[in-house]
Amino acid sequence: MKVTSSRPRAIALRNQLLSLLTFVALWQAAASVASDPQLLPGPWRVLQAAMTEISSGDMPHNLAITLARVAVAFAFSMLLGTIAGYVAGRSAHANALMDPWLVIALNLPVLVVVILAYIWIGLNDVAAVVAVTIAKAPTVMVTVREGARALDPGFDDLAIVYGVPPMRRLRRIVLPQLAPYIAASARSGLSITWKIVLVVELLGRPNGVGFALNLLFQTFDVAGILAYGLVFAAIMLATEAMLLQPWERRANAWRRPA
Amino acid sequence: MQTPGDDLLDIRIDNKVFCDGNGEQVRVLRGICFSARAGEVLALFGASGTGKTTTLRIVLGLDDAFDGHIRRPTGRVGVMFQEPRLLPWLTLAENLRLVTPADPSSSGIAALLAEVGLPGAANRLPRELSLGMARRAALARALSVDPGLLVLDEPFASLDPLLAATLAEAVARPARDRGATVLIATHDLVQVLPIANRILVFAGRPATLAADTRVPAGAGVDALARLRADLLARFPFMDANTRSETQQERI
Repeated sequence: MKVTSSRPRAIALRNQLLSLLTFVALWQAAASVASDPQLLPGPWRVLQAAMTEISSGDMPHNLAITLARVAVAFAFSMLLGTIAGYVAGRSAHANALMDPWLVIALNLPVLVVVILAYIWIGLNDVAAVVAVTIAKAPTVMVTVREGARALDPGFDDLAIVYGVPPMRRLRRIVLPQLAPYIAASARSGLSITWKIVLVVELLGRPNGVGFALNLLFQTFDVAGILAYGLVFAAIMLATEAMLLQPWERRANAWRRPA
Repeated sequence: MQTPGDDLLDIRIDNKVFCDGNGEQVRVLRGICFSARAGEVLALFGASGTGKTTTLRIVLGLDDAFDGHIRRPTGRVGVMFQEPRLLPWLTLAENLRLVTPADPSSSGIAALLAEVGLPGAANRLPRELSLGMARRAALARALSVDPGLLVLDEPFASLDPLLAATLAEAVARPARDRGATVLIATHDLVQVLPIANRILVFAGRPATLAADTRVPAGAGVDALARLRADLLARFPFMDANTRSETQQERI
């Protein structure tokens, strides 16, 4: 159910804040019980580690590199997945041709894709982006294919009879109908993409958050690992809340009752 | 450039079959053959299920799985389906702009909407309209392309008689002023008789063209009433004013 008035939204926000505070409190309690900052540092210690990494410039540098990789890989996987999903949803023949590939791609372990991309393309950013795209695009394709199958044939008839130009048809008729499906795959896609990017960086890149986590792992720096992980997750959540969710709300604005 | 005959609508449907739910072929149209000249208004009249909408789909080029031949006049096509088919995420003005080749002026759109009884509605979304208003907006969209062929499926359904009469005049105007050919599928003779040149009666299963009756030019109210009574007597499946329809076919 959509929360539309300001009061339920305020209540939801309050509940989310309470939930977050409870999480921090439980974390602090667990850290106190463990009483070993090397094993499980408390929130304050992690915050200090984050501040140190930020002030040294390492974290902003690695974050910027990872975010760039996430952005490029996300854009490619959304573009390819959307195009393939649309074609498969509109054409039974195309779907029959693509479906076996899709099933293989969906079931191929991400790690296999990453390793093969590094072996075949080389230890570079192109391989990293290709690996993430191959891993993510199929899930986008599945969602958008459902949207393409649900396109209203009545609007197709309308476009045919009136001879609506292809680009106008795409922009005004097709994309608004696909928007909820693209938005849903974008939201789930962003979270999956950045997780895959970290694995890719950990395995074969000399920079980025994944690379930093690998270094921190070698020194068993749990505070640093948590600092990187939480800061990066916070940035991704903020991106989703400030970019993807408003876009999704805008795309669905016409559905609101008069 | 138009050549002689470019403005002629010529239809011959020898045979049209559908597959029913059991996979069996059901013949729905047989031996439908008629022509229309530029400026003519033809009413396709018949009960529900007599293939009027199917014929319109064939005319519109949305169904080419039939035995026969069709020749359409040159020029743009305006259509009003049974349901409004307004894009719900576009305002009425944007819905009209979607189908027009040149970007029409705001004042032109406002005038068109006013003509169908929707003054000041250009920036409203379809969800803010009643069904009757949405159907009128769909009619405005059909008129907005300056059509050479205007195809309307039950354009006066769910409208009060006064408004229907106003819209009938709006429908007739492209034929009278610009020589558009107009096809109207209807089971309501009252609204179409004053504007139609011919009444094509669809009847039977499979449907055939049971009659092609010319409406005398300049016929008065009494003459139209007699014509209607005559048609109803000959084809007693009857129109919307004498029997409510429980089913409606859709394009």
